[in-house]
Order: sequence, then C-alpha cells, then structure tokens
Amino acid sequence: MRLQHLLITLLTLAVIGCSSTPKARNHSVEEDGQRHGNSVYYWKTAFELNDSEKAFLKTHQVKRLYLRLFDVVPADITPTNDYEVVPNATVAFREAMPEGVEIVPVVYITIDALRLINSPKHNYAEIITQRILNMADFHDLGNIREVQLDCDWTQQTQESYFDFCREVKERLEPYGIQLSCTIRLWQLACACPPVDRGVLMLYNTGSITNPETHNSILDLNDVNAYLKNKPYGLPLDYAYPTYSWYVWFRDNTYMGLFHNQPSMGLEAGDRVRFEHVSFDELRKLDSIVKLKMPGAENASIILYHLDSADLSNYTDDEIRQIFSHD
Amino acid sequence: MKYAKFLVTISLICASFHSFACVPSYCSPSEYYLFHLVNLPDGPEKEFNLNSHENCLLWQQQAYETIPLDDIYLVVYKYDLETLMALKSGSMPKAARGNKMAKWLTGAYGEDALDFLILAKNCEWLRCKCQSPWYYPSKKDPVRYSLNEVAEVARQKSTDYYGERYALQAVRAMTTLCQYEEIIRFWNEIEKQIPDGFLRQMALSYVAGAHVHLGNIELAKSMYIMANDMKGLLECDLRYHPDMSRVEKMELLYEVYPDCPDFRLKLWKILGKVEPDRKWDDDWRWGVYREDERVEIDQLAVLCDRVLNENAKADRALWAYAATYIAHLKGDDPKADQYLKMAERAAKDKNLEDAIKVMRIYIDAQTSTYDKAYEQKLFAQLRWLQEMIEKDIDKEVIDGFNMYQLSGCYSYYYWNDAMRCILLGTVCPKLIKQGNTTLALQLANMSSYTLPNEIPAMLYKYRNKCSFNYYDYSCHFAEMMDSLSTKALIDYTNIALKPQTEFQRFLNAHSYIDSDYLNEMVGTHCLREMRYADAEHYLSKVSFDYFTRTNVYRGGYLNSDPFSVTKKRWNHGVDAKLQFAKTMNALEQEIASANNPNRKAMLMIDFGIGICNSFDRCWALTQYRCGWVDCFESVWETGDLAHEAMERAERLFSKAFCSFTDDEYAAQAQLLFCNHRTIEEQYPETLAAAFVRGHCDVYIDYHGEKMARALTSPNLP
Repeated sequence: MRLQHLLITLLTLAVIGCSSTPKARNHSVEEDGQRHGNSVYYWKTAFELNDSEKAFLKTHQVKRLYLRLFDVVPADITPTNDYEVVPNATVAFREAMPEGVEIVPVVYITIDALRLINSPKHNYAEIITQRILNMADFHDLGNIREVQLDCDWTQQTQESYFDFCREVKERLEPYGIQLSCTIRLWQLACACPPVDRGVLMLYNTGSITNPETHNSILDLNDVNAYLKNKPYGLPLDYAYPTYSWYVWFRDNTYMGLFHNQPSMGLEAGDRVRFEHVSFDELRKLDSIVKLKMPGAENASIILYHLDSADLSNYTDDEIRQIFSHD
Repeated sequence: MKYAKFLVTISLICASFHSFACVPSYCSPSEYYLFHLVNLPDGPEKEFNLNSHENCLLWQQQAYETIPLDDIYLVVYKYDLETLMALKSGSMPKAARGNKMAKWLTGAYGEDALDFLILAKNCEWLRCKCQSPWYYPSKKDPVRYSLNEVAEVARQKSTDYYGERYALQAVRAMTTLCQYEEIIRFWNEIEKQIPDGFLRQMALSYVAGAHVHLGNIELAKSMYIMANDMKGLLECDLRYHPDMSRVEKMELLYEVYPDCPDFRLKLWKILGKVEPDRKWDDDWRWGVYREDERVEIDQLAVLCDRVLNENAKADRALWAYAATYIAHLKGDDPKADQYLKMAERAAKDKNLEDAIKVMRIYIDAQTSTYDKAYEQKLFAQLRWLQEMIEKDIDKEVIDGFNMYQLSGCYSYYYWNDAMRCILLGTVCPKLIKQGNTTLALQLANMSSYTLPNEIPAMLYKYRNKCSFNYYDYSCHFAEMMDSLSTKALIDYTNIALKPQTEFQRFLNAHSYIDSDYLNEMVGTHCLREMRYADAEHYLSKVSFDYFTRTNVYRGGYLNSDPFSVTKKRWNHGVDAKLQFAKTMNALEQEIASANNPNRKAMLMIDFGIGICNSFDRCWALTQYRCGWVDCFESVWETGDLAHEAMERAERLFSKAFCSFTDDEYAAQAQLLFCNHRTIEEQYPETLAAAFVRGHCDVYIDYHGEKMARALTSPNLP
C-alpha cells in the first residue's frame, strides 16, 4: 500500500509539474532592484481612454499602467452573503488594453475591510488573488508581472496587513508575479511590508478636511519632514501627483470634493479651495526625493493619475522632465 | 458473620457485574411518531424533494421508458459539465459507463436532450457562481455560454421538443441578469405552449419574482399560488421577514392562502420533530421539551384555534388533528378529545381519516376507564388497526425490517408503530397498575409479534440458526414478563395456552404462543422466587431442544457450578435450570426431613450457597440479563427478590453454624468459606485446622476473614 501511495504522489507531482497554469515568468526588475520606465496610475471605475490619454501613453512611452481593478470594503452579512468583505467598484472594461504597456493590477483595501480580512471563515488572500487573475485572464491584460495592494494601514492593523501580504505573495509566486504595495510617507518609519517592492506615495500629505490646510495634495514641508535620508528596506518607485480638485467648505466645515469647477449647490459664504500641484512643485518634490532617498534618481516615476483633464495642466516637456528626473 | 466474606464478595460482584444475555431497548414505546400524515417522507430530517423525482419521471417519458430512474437521476443531477461535454464529443467517460441514460444521450435520439442538459448545466454553474460577490468570469470557467447567451439560446428553443425545459432555463438566466421586463414579455409569448406540470410551476415562480421586482405584487401573489411557491408568496408580504418563526410564517400564509396544501408538511415538520416526548434537553435532562420547542407548540396551538374559529377555506380536519395532538402534548387529554371530535366530523380525506382513527384509539386509551366496555371497544379498534397493518405491509416494509428497530422502538412502519405506541406506551402500563397483568401481557405479546409474525423466516432464523436469539428475550413482551411476578406469569400462561374468549383468541392469533417459551419463563421466575418445586414442575415441561436454543445456554452462562463457593465448572446437561431446580428442591426437602444436626447444617449451607450463586455468578439460572436496565426499569440486582434471597441465605448460614455439634463438621463448613483464622482459633484440633496449617504459608491468608468482618460490621473491634 505504501508503494502505491508513493506512486500516486509521484504521479500527482508529475502532473502538477507539467501543468501550464502557474509558471515562472521573466520580469523586468534590474539586478539592483531598480526599475525603469515611465508609469501612470489609472483609478477610474471604467477603463476607457480618450484620444488625449492614448496619445499621452504613446508620447511619453509609458511602460506600466497601474490599473485599479476593484476596492475591498466591509459587507453586510445577510442570509445570502456570508462574506465579511466584498469587492466594490469593480472597473468596467470598455476597451482593450493599449499595446506595449504592462498592466499592474491594483486592489485598494479600505482600513475597515482590513480589520476583517483575516477572518477564519474565508481565505480572502486566495479569493482576492483568484479574482485578480480571473480579471487579468478574462480581459487579456497581458503578461502580469506585478500586482499591487493599496491600503492605508496603521500601526494597529500593521500585523494583520503584513500577514495578508504574505499570503497573497505566496499565492502569486507560483505564477512568477511580484507583489508590491503602496507606502504612505508616515509608514516609512514603520517596518517594511513583506512584499517585493513598494511605491512611495508622495501626495495626500495634508488633511483634506482641515480648512487651514493650504494644499492637502502636496505640502513640500511635510514631505521634507518625513524623508530622513535613510535607505528603505524595499526597492521603491515614486508616485507623484498630477491631479487637482476643488475642496468645498461651509462655515469652515468640509462639505465635499469637486473634480471640476463647482457651479451648483454652493451658497453665499461657502469657500472652495482649489488644490493642484504645479510643475515647479513637482520639480522641487523630485529634488527632495533624489536628495533624501538613496537611489531615487534611477527609480521609476508613477504619475497619479491618467486623466487628460488633469494632465493638460502640464506640457509634454514638463511631463518628460518629471519622468526623467531632470 | 462467619460466611461474611462470601456474602460481601457476592454483594460487591452484584453491584458491578455486567453481562449481556439479551439486548435492551433503546427508545421507549411512547416515543414512536404518532402524528402522521401520509405521502410525506418517513422522517422529519429527510428533505422533501418531489421535483427531482417528477423531473426524472418526465425525462423517462421524454427519453426512453425503460431507462431506470436512478440512471436518469445520476445524469441530470450528478454529472458535471465536463462529463456531459465528453458525451457530446462521442466518448463515454468511465463514470458514465453502464448508465443507460448516458448511452441514450449519445445515440441518435439523445442529441437534443444532451444539448439541453449542457445548456442547463452552464446556466446552473453561472447562476451559482454569480451569486457570490467575489465571482468574476475567467476563460478557464468550464462553461460554454455566458448567462446572456444561455438566456438567448433557451428563448430560441422554447418551442422545441424540450420547450418547457428551455423556457425554465431562460427565465432562470434572465432572473439572474435582472431582466425582469424581458421575463414577462417572454412568458406572455410562450405561456400557452407550456404544459401544466412542475416545470411550468417552477418557471411561473420566476415570472412571479419578476412581477415583484416591477411592483405588481397582487399579480405576483396569484402566480406564486399557481406555482405553489409558498416562500415566494410570503416574501410578497411587507410583514414578512426571514427571521420570523415557522409558525409566524404559517400565519401569514394562512391569511393569503388558507387552504394551502403545504400546511400538511409544515404541521408535520413541527409536530413530527417535537413529538417524541423523551429527549435530551440542552442541560442534558431527559424527558423535557426545549424552551424554543415549547414556545413553538404554544404558538401553533394559538394558530390552530384561530383557524378552527374562523370560517376560512382551510382544511379543518387537518388543523383539528394537529390541535388534538398539541393538546395531548400539553397534557390536556379532555381538550384533545374535543378537538378530535371536530377532526372526526370534518374529515373527508381517507388518509387523514385513518390517521384520525389512530389518534382516537390513542386518546381513548389515555382517557377511558379500563373496564369491560373499554375492553370491547379496544378489541374493535385493534381489529381495525391489525387490518391496516396487514393491508399496507409490502415488500419494502418486509425487506427493510429488522428486529433491532422493533426492540429499539424506532419509528418504522406507521400502523405497527401506532399499535406499539398505544398498547405498550399507554394501555399496558395502565393495566399493570390496575392489576390486570394477564391482559397487559396479552397486548404486549401482540404488540411485539404481530409484525415479526408476518416475516416468519426471520423469526425462525433467530430461534434456530443464529448463535444468539436477538428477539424473544429482548422484546417488550419478554421484558414485561420479566418484570412481573411468577403468579402473573402463571395466570397469563394458563389463558394464553387455553384462550376462552374471542378477544383472547384474536390476540393469540397475532402473538407468539409457545408452551416451551412460556414454561421456561415461568420456571425461571419460580427459581427467582425460590419456589424450587414449582420451578421443577414447569421446567420439566420444557423440551431439551428448547433449552439448547436459549441464549443463556448458547452463551455458556450456565457453565459455573452453583453449589461451589469458588468458581468451578459445572458439568450439567442442556437442562441446567431443571437440574438446579431439582437439586434445590431435593435439598430443601432433605433439610426438612434430616434429623442429624450436623448433616442438616451442611445441607443448609449447600442450599444457601445455591441461593446466593443463583443471584450472583450463576445469575443465568434466575435471570435473562445482567447489567442492563430494561424499558420497565427493573434492576434485579438491587431488587426485592435478590435482597430476599440474600437474607434467606444469611439466615440459613447463621442457623447452620449454630447447629453444629461436631467440631469437624463445623470446621469443614468454615473451610468451604475459607475462614482459616476461625478454624485456627476455634477448631485447632480438627483435620480441617491441620489442613489449613499445612497450606497457609503466611498469616495474611487468615486476615481475609477479618477484612470481610470489618466490611459487614464496621463497629466490631
């Protein structure tokens, strides 16, 4: 009987070994951990590029598109749903992926969902990984070499998040896919997540709801304070903000955000704060980063995000300079 | 006290000795399911799935009538898409080999059916997956169509040979896709072509669901009723909530659909589950209802009253039948009787009428005064019940029967269960309490043997071929005999062997009447009551062949010498009990006639040892089991007879030891009980003392006697 079991096991292993599904793939990470190539985030609920956006990708030879696939949010447990967290705002694919651009699927996990994600009832690492792979397969997202998790984890939820990252990484490895995650500025002082690489988010530095904040998207003083001229434990890429918005206050109370100039709903006395990041500020940001983050001058820049209206605030040359750290 | 060690040892062994000559019952007869509605599954835990059965029948009709239903069921419900796709490609997967439906599907006439099954499996897979919020399609999904394609293809084929099947798949797919207006448009187009039947009903349920989504609630309700979809109907009510109790849901249903046929199943599911009145509660107490069950029964009682007091178009007989049982469960049999009269007046359905008749026998048994008039009534009722047992018995009942079900009181065959529940659970205990043990035994005999008598081969096997007779000494009749006095058994045996009345002859006709069996039982009881002359009388009537077929003989429980203090093999014949009775009878007579005090004392000691052993190591002489508590909860080890026997033995030993005039006799008697120290101290000059000195190497051997004395008389120094 033992021999029979051994033969069955060997045969099973042989079959698994021959299976074409999870296989190692080449990836573009350089030997020193640095990675080159212009990148951009796509953070909308429908994937549909206009001509300007397509032109942007081509003009600036964008090599990687960080595409948000869905958010993970807490769910109501009902007789028909026993999942504690569910996917939300799954991106709708309205056109094919642009040629020659590597897609990096991104999943955003809310902090409330993170608190539920290591439930013993369901293996969410497995479920989420499988959903990402299904989406990539179903919509021909090409050869996926990296998956990114985005989560504003805190010190209280760090352990839970790191456990989750480990599990996802373990599931991606057989496919030759790396796991990256976003790093907030304040998280630089914490332990490194157990992933292959990180993206330092150099935006959302201030409090959006505070009427005293000058620009919640980027405050160079804040950036300066967080960057300590110390090497980080993970190879990093850097995400720079190229978006803008209008923050609405009434009686010094935050009321909401507009992505375009607001024309309705405002009352006399309301205040609207336009926030954007100028090219000059982006250059200063790049200088600080290069100065304080060892190796950043060779790192890849990711613009947040691919939106023709926002990007029209910059000239092609300015964008080129940002991408090339000039 | 000189023989105290022997008595103490016997007492200790009695308290811990376990041996199983006969198998005890597990449930009690009152635990049979008595609330009965026919054409429902046999047990409350079984799922009620008529649709799959009807579907298989329809496939049989649509495909080929000789294809077995089991084969159809496997293909339709168990095969996965991969297997069906393999059939489509012309190969026969290993799992499908030998399946006639699979073979038919791959033939010339099965192609359309196979196409349909593939589409249906696609639809099922997608619908199941789509219900998970985490589902996202993948190219690796084992489906050929998207849900939209399923809907489209199914709609196109809804006028084909398998039209109603495709129509159902179409509305299913469209429901998942939330295409409610499309569903209604589609249904209006094809409705007239869809024949009546369960497929139409199932499709209607989805159409009703579409109407609910579009706000056409009243129309949806009427469609749910046509579809017999009570869950859908309930969900139309704004008051409906999934967390409502079962009774609250029934109440809502009653308001919109008072004569809903589902009430049968719903009532049965509640009462069938709580019916056995003895079960463990959450605190591991036996015989009480759990609080939630009590609350549910109370709620149901209120609903029954409401239905019976209103003039709605409800099945009054059904509700009154349920109310009867609830009143009985709550201990109010007079009220149960009133409800039962209502049920009897309203009953129109033959099956329900029969169930009500059974309930009448039961309630009468609970409420009647047990006199001649009731006896006659019971006779008539039992005649009818016996007819029902015989009428409905079929191959399935016979093939599925085993003796453990009966001795364990597991619900199995309703008519027989009902008889056993009524007679063994109610009538017999009342008769015994009243002193009418003969009738109680007659009824117990019928309850225990009326069904086994229908399967004589099984009884023959147990009695003649097996190494152990699992029934004749384990059934309730045997246990009842075991629990009664010898006089009660003799009275019963006389009537059973010579019946006087029509009722007695009727009962005999459905009982086990065997003079060997009865005489052996009476003889054993006589041994138990130390009536050795009577025991010899009855046991001498038992055939040698019968003795060899008893469990205590076959099991070797009679192999130990009852006249030895220490365990010794007894080389008796097959009639060990008779031999014992004869010896004890002879000893008793010799004691009475002996003049020599020393001989008389020795005879008394032998006689006393026989008595003690027959309630201890040689218990099989007086009992049929050891270590079990039967359904009558008689524990002979601590019972009066065993106690009386021990006292008599003690008196005999005391008297004997006081009677000795010759030290040698006295010392020999002490030697029988291993009282070495006494021999050494009181009879040092005897041959027995010399023997002890020659064989006891250490003083501790004397000490055993002291320990026994301390155990029996703790105040002694």
